[in-house]
Amino acid sequence: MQDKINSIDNLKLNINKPFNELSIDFLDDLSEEIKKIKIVKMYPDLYYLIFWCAKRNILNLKHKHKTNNFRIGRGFVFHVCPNNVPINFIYSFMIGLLSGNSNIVKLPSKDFKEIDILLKCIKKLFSLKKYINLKKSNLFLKYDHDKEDYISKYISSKSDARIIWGGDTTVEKLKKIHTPARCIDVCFADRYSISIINTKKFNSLKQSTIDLIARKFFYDIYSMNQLACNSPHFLFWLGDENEQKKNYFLDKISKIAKQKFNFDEVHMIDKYSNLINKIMKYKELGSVKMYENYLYTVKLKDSNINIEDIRGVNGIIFQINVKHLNKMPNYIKKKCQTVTQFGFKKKEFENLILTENLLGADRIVEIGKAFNFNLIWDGVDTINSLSRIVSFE
Amino acid sequence: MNYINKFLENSDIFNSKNKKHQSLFTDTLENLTKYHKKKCLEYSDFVKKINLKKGGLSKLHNLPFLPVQIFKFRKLLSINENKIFKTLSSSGTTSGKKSKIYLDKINSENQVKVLNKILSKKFGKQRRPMLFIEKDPVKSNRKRFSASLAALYGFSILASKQCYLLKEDGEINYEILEKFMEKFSKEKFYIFGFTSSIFKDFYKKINNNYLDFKNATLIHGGGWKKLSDIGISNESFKKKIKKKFNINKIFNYYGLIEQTGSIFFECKNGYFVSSIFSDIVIRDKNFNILPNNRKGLIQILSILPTSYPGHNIITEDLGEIRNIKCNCGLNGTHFKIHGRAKEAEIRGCSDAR
Repeated sequence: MQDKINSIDNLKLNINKPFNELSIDFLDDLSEEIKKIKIVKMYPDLYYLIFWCAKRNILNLKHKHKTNNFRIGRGFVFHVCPNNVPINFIYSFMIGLLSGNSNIVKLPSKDFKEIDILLKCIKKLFSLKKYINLKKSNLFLKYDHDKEDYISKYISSKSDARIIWGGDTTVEKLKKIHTPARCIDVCFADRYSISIINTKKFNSLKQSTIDLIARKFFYDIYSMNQLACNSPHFLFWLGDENEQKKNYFLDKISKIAKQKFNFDEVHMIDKYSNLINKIMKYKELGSVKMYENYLYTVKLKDSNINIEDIRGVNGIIFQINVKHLNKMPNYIKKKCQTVTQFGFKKKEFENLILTENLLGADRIVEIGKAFNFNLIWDGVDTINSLSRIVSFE
Repeated sequence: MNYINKFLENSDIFNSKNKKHQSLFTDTLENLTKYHKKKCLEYSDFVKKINLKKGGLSKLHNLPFLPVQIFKFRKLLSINENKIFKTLSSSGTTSGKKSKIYLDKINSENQVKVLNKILSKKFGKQRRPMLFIEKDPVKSNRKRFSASLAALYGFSILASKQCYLLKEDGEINYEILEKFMEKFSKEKFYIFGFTSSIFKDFYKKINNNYLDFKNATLIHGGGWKKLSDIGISNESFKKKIKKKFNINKIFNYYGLIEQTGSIFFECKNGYFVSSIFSDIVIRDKNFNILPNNRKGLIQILSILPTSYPGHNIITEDLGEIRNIKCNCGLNGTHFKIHGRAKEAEIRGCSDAR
């Protein structure tokens, strides 16, 4: 453990302006390094990362964050990353780096191939002379569960900001740890996500377009086994349904899942258990349609249900028909993070959120973009939160 | 629910592959499905909401089956709460949640009757001294009625005298072992334990230079997951024990805590064989019935569960039915077990560790 403490003590503070050139170059080089890895196509989330940290994308994000203020990183940022999401840590780190900070990243306790690959790339870049300062000011740490409290406390006592990815329990636990008075916490707690389709638009679509949306929908649902906060579980059909088209759509998703998702017996048993537990527990849930074991859809009989804690796994969709958008507040609760949608205008959701005083729904994205990572996450502008403004008067 | 007597009256319990029994078994399972549907609201919801017809032409195979994990999540009862006589709970697996099975007096008695019937048919009616590779349950003050304790009590029916090999600290009590061997090893005797304890505490620890185990019949079961984790198969387990202790009669049993009583024993050729009280089906990952000699998920049907709807369960275990002419003389379903389906990585934003 002492070696961990030493490596924390040896870190050199290095702060910079958000989107400084060195950080952009580093991420661009990282993109190149990942591209070189032969097996990268086996990992869709790594593959997506090639695009995400490429200079072109980052410059685009920089443009969106244009400011006249003099901004600079807050100092040391402690990243507490979830234990069972392999690649979350790299996004957390990139946020910290892009906002101009030095970073201590707590890696997931579980082993994931993706993490090994990324750390190898980073290590390689750190060995270059160009990035010697980044090497000295950033640290990736993995520590045992039994040492966790001690080391987390130690790092917290030296942090200027913390990013805590929950579980509610993790967030709560970390919040109890004493931090310096000026240290700020950015917490991402447990959330759920939903999807909504405007039938007026959907019913007039050609088959090939429905196929395309089905493919996008598939990625939203099945990436990360439907276990991420941004994975939708409920699908709302708004307006008059066209049974035939709807069935075609769902059938298509199951076919894509059959083709693309690497199901084994454990996935299926977990999924079946999840389904049976839900239909026993919630009287409001109605009949189930099984597309073999590739996709289950469950009808909702009664709209008076709290959907917050109803989550599927490996491809379970709970379906509801609603007449108007103004029925949605019943389902968009505080815990609601992402709404993936088809066929709506931005204005419609703005109005809904305003008139109904909605505390949930931080991301309204097109179907297929549930997993697109943005610097604005869970309603928080991460770059602005992790940097401070120096005012000159 | 006195249909069970009809099964108990049958003395030919390893002769289940005949038309007469098959149709009785199917009718019984069908009736049990109807019965639980009437008695257990959650089970009835399950049957109504799911229309799982994955059995082709077979009536038996088309009956709805619950996933084994459901007993970890839901309290499923087909009796009034005040009729609960005993609660069985699993030893708990990686997920940390334990299965709970609620028995009334009748169900509990039936479990004992069926287990006795299977054991006496398999090993003979004569009781013999039994060495348990366990701590003495009376001394260790175990309050909960766990799966392991249930098995211990169940198998003690074979014992004329019971001895416990392990001390409270888990170490071997050599004094007891030597006394037991001195007194009983000249004639036939039993050794019973969980597969992992047999391996860990018996096989690994005991120095056998001066002890003679050749008259022993070793019965073990459960907990083989721990062994497969360290890469030891049923076959190599047997070989190792035989080599070290000269024990030739080694019998593995397979069963679910959810279906205590109706267990499956290995025949002399190393196949698990069904009795008239239960049977298995093998399904693929889409729950389609697999033909013989194909590996898939094991579904177990048992006539025993009446106080809870556990008569038809799909497990997380992988196995295959072997269509062979086995010279063991038992006319039941012969099958092999290939361990638990490998646990996939669990991903997600939750607090799981």
